Amino acid sequence: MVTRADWFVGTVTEAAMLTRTGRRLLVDVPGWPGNRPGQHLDLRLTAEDGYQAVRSYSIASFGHGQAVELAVDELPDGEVSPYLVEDVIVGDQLEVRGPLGGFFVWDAEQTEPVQLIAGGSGIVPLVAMARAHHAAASAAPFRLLYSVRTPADAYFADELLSLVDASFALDWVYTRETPSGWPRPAGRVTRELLAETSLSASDAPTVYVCGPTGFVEATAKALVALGHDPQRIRTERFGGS
Amino acid sequence: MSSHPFPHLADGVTSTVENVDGNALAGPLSALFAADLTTALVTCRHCGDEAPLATAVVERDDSSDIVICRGCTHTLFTLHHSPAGLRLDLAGLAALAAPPDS
Repeated sequence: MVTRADWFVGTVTEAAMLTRTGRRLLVDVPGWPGNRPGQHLDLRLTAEDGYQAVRSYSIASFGHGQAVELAVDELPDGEVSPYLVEDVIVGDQLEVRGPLGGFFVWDAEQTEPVQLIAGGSGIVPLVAMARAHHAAASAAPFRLLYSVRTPADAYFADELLSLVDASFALDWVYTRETPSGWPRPAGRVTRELLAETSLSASDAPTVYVCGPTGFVEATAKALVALGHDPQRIRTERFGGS
Repeated sequence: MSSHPFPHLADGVTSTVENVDGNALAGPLSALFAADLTTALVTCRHCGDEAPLATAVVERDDSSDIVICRGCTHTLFTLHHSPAGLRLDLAGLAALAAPPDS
């Protein structure tokens, strides 16, 4: 798979809301060289007067093929995400550059235990890793901790549940509102919660954390306090609150 | 190019600074370097801290990416974006090392 990034013109082939603010886009990109699980792309929009805006989006799909799957959360003050969530329709063209990044990536050759931790739409690159883990029938123990505001804010919930097996565990954290009868009150990811719901530092997992910058900072700090080797903690911050 | 014109922010509205990290530099730097630099180890000229570029603090707006050492908060380098192209100012970067092969 080449790593040199080029600009491609893709066409939106599917578009559907995943949540109140999140939308899944499937983009057909002729010439796309495929991508590793966890990589991202840059998406460029050009206005009629020539003004351009570029934003980075993680890729939910992986492997060969030119169908690229994105899941975009609409940011209230955003410039690009409201366009992608509310305006773009099937048949529209988008410019993308990629695949990008070699740091926040999981490859099926990895055999060590893996802890995935997502905050909100930070689930997107981790979904690619979970899918790749399943597709490779990898025996590497995977555990995913997914923090969402409410149950209705989860992306890919049914698919993630369907992946649960002996080598893939799924834990939920609800920060604003829980399902009825949920054993824990709503609240943010804390050191105590991580100790209960994620792989222990003694398992020496590689940990992938993706989400808003504040979420990633707090989570990485708590992981280090729990004894995880900072060099085994891979982070991706996408700004936001 | 889209059949639905992209309606950008009105003139005079400036974009806000986003706090992201070095992963976001993969695209812009691909215009200058053939290899992915986000896994490269960068050494800070000020504090000597060495870390993968992906982990650096990046303050991003429409005109620049300011790349900041997580160890001491000094600027490692700045990537300026303008109609004239891309410019890399290596303010506080002491060294750049590629990992064996990833």
